[in-house]
Amino acid sequence: MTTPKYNKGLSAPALCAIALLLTIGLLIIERNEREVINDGTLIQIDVDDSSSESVDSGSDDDEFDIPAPSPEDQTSQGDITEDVVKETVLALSEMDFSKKVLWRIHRIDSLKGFSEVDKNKVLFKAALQFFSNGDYEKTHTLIGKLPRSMRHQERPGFYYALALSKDDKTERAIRAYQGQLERFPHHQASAINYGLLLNDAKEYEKAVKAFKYAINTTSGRRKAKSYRNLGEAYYKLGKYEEAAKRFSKSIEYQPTNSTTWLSLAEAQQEIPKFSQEEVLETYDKSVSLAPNRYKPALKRANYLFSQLMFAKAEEGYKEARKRSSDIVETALMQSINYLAAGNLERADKIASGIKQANNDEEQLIDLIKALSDEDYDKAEDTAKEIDKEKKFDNEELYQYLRLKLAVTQQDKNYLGKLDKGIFEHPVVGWPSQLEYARGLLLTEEYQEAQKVAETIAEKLPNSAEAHLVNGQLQLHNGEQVAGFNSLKHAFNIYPESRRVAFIYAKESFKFERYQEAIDIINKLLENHSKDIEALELKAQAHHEIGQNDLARAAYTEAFELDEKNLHSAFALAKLESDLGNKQESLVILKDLLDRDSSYIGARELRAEIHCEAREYDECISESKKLLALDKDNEVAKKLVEKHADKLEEKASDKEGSKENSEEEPKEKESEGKESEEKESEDKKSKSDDSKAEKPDSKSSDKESDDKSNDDDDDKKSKKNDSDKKDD
Amino acid sequence: MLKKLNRPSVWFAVLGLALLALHFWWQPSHVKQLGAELLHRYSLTMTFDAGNEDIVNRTYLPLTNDRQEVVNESLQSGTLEFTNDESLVGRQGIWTGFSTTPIRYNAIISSREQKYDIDPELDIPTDYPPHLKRWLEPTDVIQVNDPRILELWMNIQPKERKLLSTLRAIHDYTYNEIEGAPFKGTTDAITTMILKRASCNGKSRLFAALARLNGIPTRLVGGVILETAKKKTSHQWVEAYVQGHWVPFDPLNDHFAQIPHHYLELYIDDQALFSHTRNINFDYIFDIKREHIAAPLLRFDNDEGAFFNAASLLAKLGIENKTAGIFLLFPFVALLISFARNVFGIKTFGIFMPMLVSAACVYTGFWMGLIGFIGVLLTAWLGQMYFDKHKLLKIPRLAAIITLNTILFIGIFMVLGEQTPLQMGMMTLFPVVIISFIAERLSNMTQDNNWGELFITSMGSIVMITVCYLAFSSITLQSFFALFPETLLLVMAAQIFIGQWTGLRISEYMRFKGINKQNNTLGINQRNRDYVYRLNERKLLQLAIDKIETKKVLLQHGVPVPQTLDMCDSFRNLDEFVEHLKDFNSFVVKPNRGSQGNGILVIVKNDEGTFVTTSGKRLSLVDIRYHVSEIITGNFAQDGQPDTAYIEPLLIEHHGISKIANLGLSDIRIILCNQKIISCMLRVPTKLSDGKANLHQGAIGLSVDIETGMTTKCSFKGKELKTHPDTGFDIVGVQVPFWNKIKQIAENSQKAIPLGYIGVDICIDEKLGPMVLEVNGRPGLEIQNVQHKGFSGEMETARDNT
Repeated sequence: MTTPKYNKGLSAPALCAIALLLTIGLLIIERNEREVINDGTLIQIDVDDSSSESVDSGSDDDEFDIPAPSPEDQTSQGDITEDVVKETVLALSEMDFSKKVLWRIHRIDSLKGFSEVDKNKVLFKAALQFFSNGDYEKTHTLIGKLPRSMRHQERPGFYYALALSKDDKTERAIRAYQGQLERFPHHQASAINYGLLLNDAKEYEKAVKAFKYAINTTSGRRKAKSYRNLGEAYYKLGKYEEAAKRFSKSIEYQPTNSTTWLSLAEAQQEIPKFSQEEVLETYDKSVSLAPNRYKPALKRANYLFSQLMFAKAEEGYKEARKRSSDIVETALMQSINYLAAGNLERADKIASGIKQANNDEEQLIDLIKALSDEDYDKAEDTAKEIDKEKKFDNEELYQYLRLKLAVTQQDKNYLGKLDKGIFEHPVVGWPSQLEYARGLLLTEEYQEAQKVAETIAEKLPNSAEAHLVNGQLQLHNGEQVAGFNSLKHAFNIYPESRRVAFIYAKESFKFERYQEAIDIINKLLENHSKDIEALELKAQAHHEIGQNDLARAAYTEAFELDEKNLHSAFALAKLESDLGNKQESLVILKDLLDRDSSYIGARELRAEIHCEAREYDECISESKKLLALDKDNEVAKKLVEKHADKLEEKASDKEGSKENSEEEPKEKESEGKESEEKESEDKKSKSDDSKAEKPDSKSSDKESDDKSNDDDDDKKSKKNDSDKKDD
Repeated sequence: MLKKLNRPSVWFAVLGLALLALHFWWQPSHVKQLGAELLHRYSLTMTFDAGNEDIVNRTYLPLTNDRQEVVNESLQSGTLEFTNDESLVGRQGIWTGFSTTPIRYNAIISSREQKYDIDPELDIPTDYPPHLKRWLEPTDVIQVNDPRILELWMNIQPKERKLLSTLRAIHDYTYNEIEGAPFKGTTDAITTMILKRASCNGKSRLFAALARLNGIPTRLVGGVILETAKKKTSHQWVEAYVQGHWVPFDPLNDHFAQIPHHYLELYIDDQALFSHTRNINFDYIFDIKREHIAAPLLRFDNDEGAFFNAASLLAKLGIENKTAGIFLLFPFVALLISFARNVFGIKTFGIFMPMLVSAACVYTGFWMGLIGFIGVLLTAWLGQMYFDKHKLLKIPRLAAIITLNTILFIGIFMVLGEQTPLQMGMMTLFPVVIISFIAERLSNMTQDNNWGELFITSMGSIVMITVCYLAFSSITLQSFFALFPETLLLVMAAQIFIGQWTGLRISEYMRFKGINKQNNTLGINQRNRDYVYRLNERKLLQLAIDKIETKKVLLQHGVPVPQTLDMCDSFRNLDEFVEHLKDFNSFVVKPNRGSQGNGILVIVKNDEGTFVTTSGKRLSLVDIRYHVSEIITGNFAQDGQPDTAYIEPLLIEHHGISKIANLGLSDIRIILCNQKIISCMLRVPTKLSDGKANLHQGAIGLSVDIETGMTTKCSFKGKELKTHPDTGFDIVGVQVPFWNKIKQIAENSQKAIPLGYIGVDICIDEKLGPMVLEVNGRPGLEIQNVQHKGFSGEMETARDNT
């Protein structure tokens, strides 16, 4: 070994010197760091450049953000003129440059004489031109060809990503934005667009992250936008609480944005802690902030519809139509709402007025029309056709209508097999449940029906409809107290509704709470003074508790309201005859028959009165007239049979026959009436509608709704009435 | 060249640097995360005298928002029930129940400055969302609708009614025109206006009144200014609503549209910070400390994606960030210590003791820690002296000293009263750590009256504690080791380098400064690495330490050694052994595995049961018994293990040497390397060395010429001597008797015990001639100073020749 003899290598002082240097370095760094006080933040509050947003400006929808070019971009152009750019665009649009390499593109005539850098600048300008022409594919192909040094600058990088996303090249666009944000972490528009893109690509988890980042980098209106879209992403993820929080935050930054309010309302709708009123308030705010946009109005109406407030929803839809009448969606929902409310005529009218519907919508409209025309066969056919469709756009609406059809037809099979999934739907969920409860009521499955009705009533304590059905069912199931409480509750919630009040009164009448019934009808009449049906019910109630004068007055009023309303007159005559005022009765009957000589019931009554009064001539002649009108009229036949001999012999056995004869024609009469009604419509009696329409053509839709909605119940109670009398 | 680089330290360094470079390239964001973060330790103590009643006490606690963050918090509520009521106003802590102990709330708070830049073109909006309307309403103390306020505004309003100018006018008025005064209690807006003097809350209310008058929603904010202090003052300022932001203004300290980093927000609106049951003598105090902390120890969920952070792993185990920082720095500090010892040659009590003490200092604060350390040291030393008098055995004595220290600490805590439990916990670590390492060394040194050594070692310890403390508290190092744990490879490389480095230590430059002219001095590093570790087998080193065994082996090889009269290795034989001593007139008691002559008792005369030592001290049999038992306990052994005591007959110095000094037995140290005699010296005892021939203890070293055996030079404490300082005899030019035989014996000894590098101690008895006292596997290097020349070159030649 040739190692030197003495100590070698680094000596201790050298090592110490190294250590000293390191220490000094460390101390310098340390000192610098100690001086660092936590970084402050500077928040700039600019003038809000979007004051026009409360009016319909597209900008509060979530369009991709395109920042205005900063002035320095224009100044640094030098000898690149607009003409050069134009020529380049022209040249490029004629050739297919997608397969050409950059240096070949550089050989275009218009680019001659420029330096390499300037050529690229011109090409980028050309790309911008393509972009503003909407040719996004050309834009991103062209920018993609530019060298990295150019492509990775702020504006080219941004437009590259933007063009990709507009051209639906989602994956590439995502990567482009990621790169852009790595290079320019504070480029606000990129941060927002990246999030929007992820939202579009349904990558909500990632979008949440992206918007959180965007929130940190953006300011002013963009911050509001970032918050809103973060909320949107959360909403899509089903995190409604989080979403509502973000929407509120966005509103703080930009309180005039209708879209945000709308989104907030939608989020609140999903969160149980928000009450109906609060949600509605938010919807109202959204509607009022954008006076020309139909969407908030439509959404608000949909919400009302889903909360079973059909009358308010109707107004909402009207408002939405007013803002933008041609939207199929609105019209469709409007007609469905009418249908739900029972206003068939209007539903039909609206449905017929819909233009520019696509296939699926067309089929739905057909179904609505069939339902509102009460053409159930046709409705079934349409439903079958729709069933055949593999994919149907408005599946839930169809489901709802189909359910409605089944309910009107009392289709037990369908109800039994019903897919309960529809009950979860945000719009038609509750209406479907209501319909289902009604269907169960009609098919007499009271227990089941009540269960459904109770849930509805519990969940939607503000819906009169829910309580109404619930009350009816409770009464059916013998829970008198609870039933009347529910009805009363419904009545308290919505005392203006004729339908609610009438059913309440009717049920009261049925359960012999006559005074209560009269009170309610009196209240009802305050709002709907021309309601004949109510008046008749009132008369009946008065009659039951012996207030015959009042009863008479009520009948008279009912008759006077509408001269053509012979039923009231007949009832009055009957009342008089029951009370023994035969003469009065006969006068009324005569008057009645003068107006309608073919009123069989009236003739029967007249014949009987005559018989009873032993005026057999008149009796027989009346019976014969009856037979002439109706050959098979049993009452007339009997009367003729019985009294033909009595005309001669004057048999003494009258009482029994009279009772029989009285009974039978009555039944006939009610049956007859029912069959009449059945002809014109199944459950929804047209006559009622027309009654409502005729006396007061201007009567508000609300009233007519309620009336028509009541019909099935009305009939039922009527039937019950007659049953009772039989007893 | 390449061969030279093929060393483990280089490999580790290359690997470490490569990983580090990769890390920098892969995660450039990590560099940004290095660094300090200013944190505030916020502590609120509330005291009350509850009597026998239940109490209710509420206060606002800090919460995390955009600009401030509660990093971690702890609460001592005693027996009170605590509920946390978070609302839009703030986070209110509510304590209910009965308790006598104070409530303590502690939190670490990180807060930032926030500035707002308001566009001067901004108009004052005319309408606001409903939830902001309440910030425009007048209240009892913010009298917006008072005509006087309106009048005031008419006088101070700016020319242009823009948002910014309006706020500016209000701020300027409230800051400049209203004099700041330490009012207590509530001052309303009107009073402030009239008095033109107010504290923060009056100014804030006037600000709010004027702003609300102008249709700018404004609210009061209450909080505390974070500054290192114990105080009772809270603070109030205002926030005005501007386009979705609540912009802060402080009209007392002139912060316009900005909030400094040390403002802590507690609540919003005009509230009372504390509310409590009446008549409970309520009192409170804020205790706030500012502190820099390495950010990576605290923040792991960095958005920029810390893909690895060693501190986060520790935090998962529940280790507090301070402890984590210390833990991560242990290897580095160990490197510092090895550097200090092997390159500087700084002597400390215990090798890694400074590291532990400085780690404790991190918790207690440097001066507290140092004072604690010195206190413990003093207690241990005094205790040692006291217990020594009463002749306690080693281990019970240490135990007694620990007890003494604990008593001392309890006393300190009683005096100091309030200390945080953390400090207390760490302070109790001191006695155990330090005593086990130091007390023994300390007692040895004091026993040997080695004051210079003691001083140097103490200073060395303090210096090292300081250095280690600085390293431990370095934020840069903490964050660097947390984020870049691959740096540990570099530390490893440095440690290996130092392990392989054989240069002269800085302290050796001092020690051999007279002889290092030729750069031929052998340093301790080189001795250990190149000779002891390379040439001397472990087994033989153990043998050399065991003197009885050594003597047996030497005897077998015909090397003359003193006779072993008796020996004793356990307490069972102790009495018998001591009894046996009576039979001898003169003898030497030695510990079998002692070093540096410690524990050797020389009895020159047996005066009827009283034994006389060389220095004339008279000892009883009990004293000797105690000494022997100390030897058996291992008190003098190099490794502290139980030892054997043995007796040798007292050797009579040969007249050829006793003519130099007759104070004790001199001996000749011969250093051999591979059968070649490298160096030799004659060690002559002095009065200072108490008859021991040990240079450390003050004996004189005489350099002896290897060929002739003549003493040539003498150096004593750096000075050259011609005569013995005590006796005045000539000491230069003396012929050592039996010189050739001595050389022969030395060579034979190395043959018998084949240590490559060996020091043989030989003494010459008047009757028996030269005899080997012991052999040394790690002979010291002081002989170079005695010989006045280094022997590094000679050693190398001798080593490489075989």
